[in-house]
Amino acid sequence: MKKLNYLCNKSSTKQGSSFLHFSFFLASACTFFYILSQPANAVLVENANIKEGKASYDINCKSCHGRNLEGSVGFNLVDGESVHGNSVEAIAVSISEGFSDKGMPAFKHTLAPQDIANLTAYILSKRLGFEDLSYKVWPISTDPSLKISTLNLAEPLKTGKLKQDNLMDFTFTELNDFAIEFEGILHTPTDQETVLQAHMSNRIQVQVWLNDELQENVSPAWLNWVWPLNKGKQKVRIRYITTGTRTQNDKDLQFFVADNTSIIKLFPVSMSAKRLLEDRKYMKQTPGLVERKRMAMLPPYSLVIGTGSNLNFAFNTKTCSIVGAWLGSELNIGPNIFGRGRAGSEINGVWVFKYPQQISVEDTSTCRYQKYTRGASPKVFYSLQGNNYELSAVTNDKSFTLQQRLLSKTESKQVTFTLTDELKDKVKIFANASNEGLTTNIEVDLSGIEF
Amino acid sequence: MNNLSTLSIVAISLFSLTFTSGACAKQTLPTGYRIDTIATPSDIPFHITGLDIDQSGKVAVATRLGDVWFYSNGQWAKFADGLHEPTGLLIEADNTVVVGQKPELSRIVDTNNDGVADEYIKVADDWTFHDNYHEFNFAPVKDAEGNFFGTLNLGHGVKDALSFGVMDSAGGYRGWAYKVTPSGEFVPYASGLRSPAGVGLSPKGELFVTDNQGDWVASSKLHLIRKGEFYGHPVSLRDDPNYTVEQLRKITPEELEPIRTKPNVWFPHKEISGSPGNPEWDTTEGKFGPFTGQIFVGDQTLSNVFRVMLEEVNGEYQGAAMNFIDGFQSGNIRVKFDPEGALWVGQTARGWQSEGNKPFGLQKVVWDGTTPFELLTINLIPKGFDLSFTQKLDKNSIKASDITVSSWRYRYHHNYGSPKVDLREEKVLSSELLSDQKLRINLFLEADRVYAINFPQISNQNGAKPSTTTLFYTLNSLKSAIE
Repeated sequence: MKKLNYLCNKSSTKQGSSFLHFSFFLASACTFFYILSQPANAVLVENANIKEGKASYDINCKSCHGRNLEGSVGFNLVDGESVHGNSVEAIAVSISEGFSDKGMPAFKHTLAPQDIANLTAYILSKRLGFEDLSYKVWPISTDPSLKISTLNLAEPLKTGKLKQDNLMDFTFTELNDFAIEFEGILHTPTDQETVLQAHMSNRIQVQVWLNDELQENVSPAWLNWVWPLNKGKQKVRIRYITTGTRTQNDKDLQFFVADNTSIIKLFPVSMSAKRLLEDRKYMKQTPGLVERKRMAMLPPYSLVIGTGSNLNFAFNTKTCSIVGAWLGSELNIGPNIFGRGRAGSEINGVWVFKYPQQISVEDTSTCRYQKYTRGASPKVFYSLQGNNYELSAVTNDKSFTLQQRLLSKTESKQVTFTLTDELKDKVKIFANASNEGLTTNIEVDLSGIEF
Repeated sequence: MNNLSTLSIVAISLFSLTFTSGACAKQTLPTGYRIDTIATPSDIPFHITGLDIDQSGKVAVATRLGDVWFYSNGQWAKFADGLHEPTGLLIEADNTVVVGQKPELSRIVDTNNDGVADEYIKVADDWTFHDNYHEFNFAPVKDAEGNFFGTLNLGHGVKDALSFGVMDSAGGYRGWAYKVTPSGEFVPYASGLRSPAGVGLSPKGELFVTDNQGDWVASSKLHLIRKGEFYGHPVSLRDDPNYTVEQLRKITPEELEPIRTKPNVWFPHKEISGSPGNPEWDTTEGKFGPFTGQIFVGDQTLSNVFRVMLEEVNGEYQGAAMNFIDGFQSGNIRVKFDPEGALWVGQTARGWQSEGNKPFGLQKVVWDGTTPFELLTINLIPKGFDLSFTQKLDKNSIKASDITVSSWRYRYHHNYGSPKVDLREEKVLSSELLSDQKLRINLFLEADRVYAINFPQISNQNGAKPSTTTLFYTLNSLKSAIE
């Protein structure tokens, strides 16, 4: 749980729209004023509760601002580009007063001050990307032997902030040979390990400092640079020199914050990375959609099957095992479009489980995948130990059931399934003989999975 | 479904032709040919990596993003989706296509005749796909007996894979050509391939494959594929039972040289090709102009289409490659003739940079019946070459001193590509007209070299010159005087 130390009192929130337009300056002034004058009388944020803030967000804000604050009808609330100001006070005022012309109600009429404080705390805790990003630029010589590690940089030619001040832009200098340095506070998720990632040639000369300590690239992979980050908030400095970069296009460096596998790109921190992520294509996992595209986080040969009810599962054609399931209506196939397609597709939802957690058949060596059929309810066909089976899914709110039906009439031997440890509590398997033939139902409990 | 029109870019082509030098390079476009652009469905990244056309003229394409679409009567209709980077497709029946996608060769069927596929059936998946971006499955072609053929690209950066250069194999028949019999048996067919992006069957049913320049591949090339043969990239040998990985780690190019089969035709790098696609034989019986029987290949990097002329010398194919048309809008990876004799060109620029200003698309080359003045064929003779042209030659334009020839070899090594080795100018000793349209040039020849022949001054009797005046002949074997 996180606590906010201060928040402007209610009277300051009533300063109205002029406050909003000059929010950054006034919010700072407001904080200053408040801290000096009314420390004991605030709409107290001492106990601002992020968890309650999230609950309140889900009820009041999610439908317009998106499940992950990513924006929809309402603005994106995570990337630090808050139109109405991104200080503690400005956010609280925005919630409190609303924007009737944009369709956002004034929540002061329905939420208690403490609720607004909680909401503010939650929104701030979700902030991602750079804050207070500044740059310095130096012209450098054309000497091709220049090394970034030994370069002495004197007074910069230019310093300042970019118009879009939370994204690094490596192309604005109008110089051919230059060094550039960006520095700012980088906000990263508080609930997961992340890395700074760049896709670029090994010829590129870049250095990264985290809280003033020079970091090493820890990725052995070609064209993939990775520097581990802290959770939450850190000072990041990135220096680049153009020496060794072959083309103008190559100078347009792509930096992302990614999950700690560096497979899932969470958000961009440079302009070109933003453009690249905007090119991602989303496919609706509508009932009946089956995808063979490579899925990040799942093993090769995984079929992705959309069942409707926002439930998707992955069937592995080499092991006849269920290697993943998730809730969500879309699959981000973007990384399969750009570049050479090194990255896999990503889910846009919440995992119920994923490989290495799996529901596997006991003897995978007899697995012979045959085909799948499309339609409202897709079916997968395969044989195990020489017997033919068909697998399909039935879903409801609390669980989904994978039904494996024996098609061969000659054998009635039951398939034995194995569950990895984490699945033992949430998956039940039972056989059922009926007029339909012998079926095995694999019931996966969805309760407790929030989506 | 989208209403679409076919847009001609003849005007653009002509515009390009008015430039002969300077910043705007001259477009190669033989007289009588034009490039038409077919509009693809709007808002869909339409990177075409599989292309087939049936006898009714219905066009089927597979896109790199995993769709299969049909195009007929100016209308696009989506047939299937969700595939994993397909790189080839074949129309098997009205309601059935067979698609090569990375993890599988698949038969996709519309069983209820509503125009949309509902069964996705595994034909074969007996190779190993390690989820590597470079592990393409280029397939299929189908022979008269119903066998499918395809090729499996090597990986790049696969964990713990065997590599002696850039590309690698973690096993599972990477770098092999394969066959799948009508009963579904998977047969590893031949090894030593690198990025074999073009698979084709000759009218006689012979399997030919193009391969892309890179490590162990001096320049892009064309191979006739025979069962059991090895075509040069050694990491694929880890799946050959005659070798162990330990043995391969010590093997040298000198040891590999005698067991490798050399290309039938080299495509000199960046001069004619950078990343060739599938070979397509002109079986149009004249509907596409005078080049019946020759092979047309698209190139994904240079965005051109070039011709390949094969001949048999000492029982083996060898021959020449020559640019045909360039200036396409994007990277030409697939070519296919329609029943009317137009050459359709499926395009993607994705990942590997291509000439042209479009990221993807579909164009077709149409011949209007006007015979262009071009080199028609080249044939090796014991002491030179016979060059045939499509029209009568101006006998004053064939001076030996105006024809320049250079020759070179390539190195066989783990490096990425090879420079021209032992490059030398060859003196054309004499030139003579054998007939109105046929020229003989005499020069000293040596086997195992590539000969570049330039004839910039040759003209027809109206003074016109060919659109392309350079060809590249791969001389694996000399022709004896007795033959």
